[in-house]
Amino acid sequence: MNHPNDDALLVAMWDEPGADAERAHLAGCATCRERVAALRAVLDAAGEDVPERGPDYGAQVWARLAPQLPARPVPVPAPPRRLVSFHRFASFGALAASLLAAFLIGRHTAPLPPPVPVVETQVRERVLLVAVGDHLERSRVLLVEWMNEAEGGAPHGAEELLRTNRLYRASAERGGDADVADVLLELERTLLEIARAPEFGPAERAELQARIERRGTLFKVRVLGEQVRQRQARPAVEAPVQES
Amino acid sequence: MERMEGPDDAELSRARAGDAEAFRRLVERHARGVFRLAFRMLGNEQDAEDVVQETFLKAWSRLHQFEARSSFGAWLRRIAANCAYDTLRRRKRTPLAAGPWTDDEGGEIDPLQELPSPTPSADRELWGAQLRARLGAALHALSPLERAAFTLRHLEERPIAEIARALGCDDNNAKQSVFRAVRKLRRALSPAFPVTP
Ligand SMILES: [Zn+2]
Repeated sequence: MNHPNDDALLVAMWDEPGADAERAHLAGCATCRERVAALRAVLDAAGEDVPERGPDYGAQVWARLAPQLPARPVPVPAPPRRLVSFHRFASFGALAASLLAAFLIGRHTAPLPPPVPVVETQVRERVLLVAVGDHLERSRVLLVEWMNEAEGGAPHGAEELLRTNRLYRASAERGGDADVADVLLELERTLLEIARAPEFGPAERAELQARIERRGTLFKVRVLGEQVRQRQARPAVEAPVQES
Repeated sequence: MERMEGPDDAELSRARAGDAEAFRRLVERHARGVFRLAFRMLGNEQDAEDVVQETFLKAWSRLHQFEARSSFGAWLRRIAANCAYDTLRRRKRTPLAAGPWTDDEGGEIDPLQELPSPTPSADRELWGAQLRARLGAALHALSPLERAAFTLRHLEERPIAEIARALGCDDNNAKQSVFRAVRKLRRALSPAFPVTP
């Protein structure tokens, strides 16, 4: 009798299509049923030892989570008026949203709203790119400094970066770019934690620094910043740009 | 994660409209399941807690992307698996160095001889401790994809297609990763779990 190999036995153990022959074989082969039992023993052993979490665990998770929750993105938000840096884009607020996403991931060919002339669009895109790149760089510098200090209050500028970040994140989310939105969400969460840091004692602060380190926030911000810089450096190739 | 498709619906639509209180109930309902998945993938409580926070944070900001095709629990699981997978990829792996099985005086033992004793004994406890240590080391030595795919398939019992989606690979890649993971675990645990032809 030809016994199925271990891989085939695994597929037979799974409740997936494509292993009917193996399942039929198992029904008539005691040897292979023993092999399955041995496999199962290994697999079961690997699943043991998950630390117990009590019935109030969900409430504990919520207590930590709630202060970090950004406001829910509203489907079609009006561009906020408070921010000076965003005033420049106010006339094309809706456009900016899709541009940011299209840009950061290099989807330069994404369809753009037709009424805007190509050259004008590209200029705006570049302005926006520069603004985002600048934001990421300022955030990165602030994070590096804060991560290397054992004490002190909230770093200067954290609140403003937080507000700017919310705008960019909302843009990326509306543009459907989950990867960029994720990094900005991560950054926003971290900026929020840092902005609240004056309430922290040295031990809490060290703990927060360790947590940010583990999450790799700085690394992610640096990588995204690098991508934005590369986009900035790349010449616009899709349409001939006429300098006026 | 509990299968709770109906009961989540009311909270979901309110949470999507920005109701944090409704989202709190979803968090409370699913937190333990998310933790279990994260811990199984990462084998470390602190990392697992970080993934729990990150998962719900992402879920909140992406609620508008949730489509009712899958259950909310399955959607959360996908986010959690992805976060944990990212953590695995950032981690340094420890190469596996498995020496002989030993008794409490350091003498070499045959784990197969220790196994059959049905009564709990000091030896048996030691055997269990060594088994867990070996398993932990073997899991730690898996590649991120192997560990993630193995956890999702065998411990969370997710179908291959869902695993492939969560980890961003194709079905065959996910399946082969599970095969490799099982082979490596068995090798690390042999001869306690002898490999048969
Ligand atoms: Zn057989």
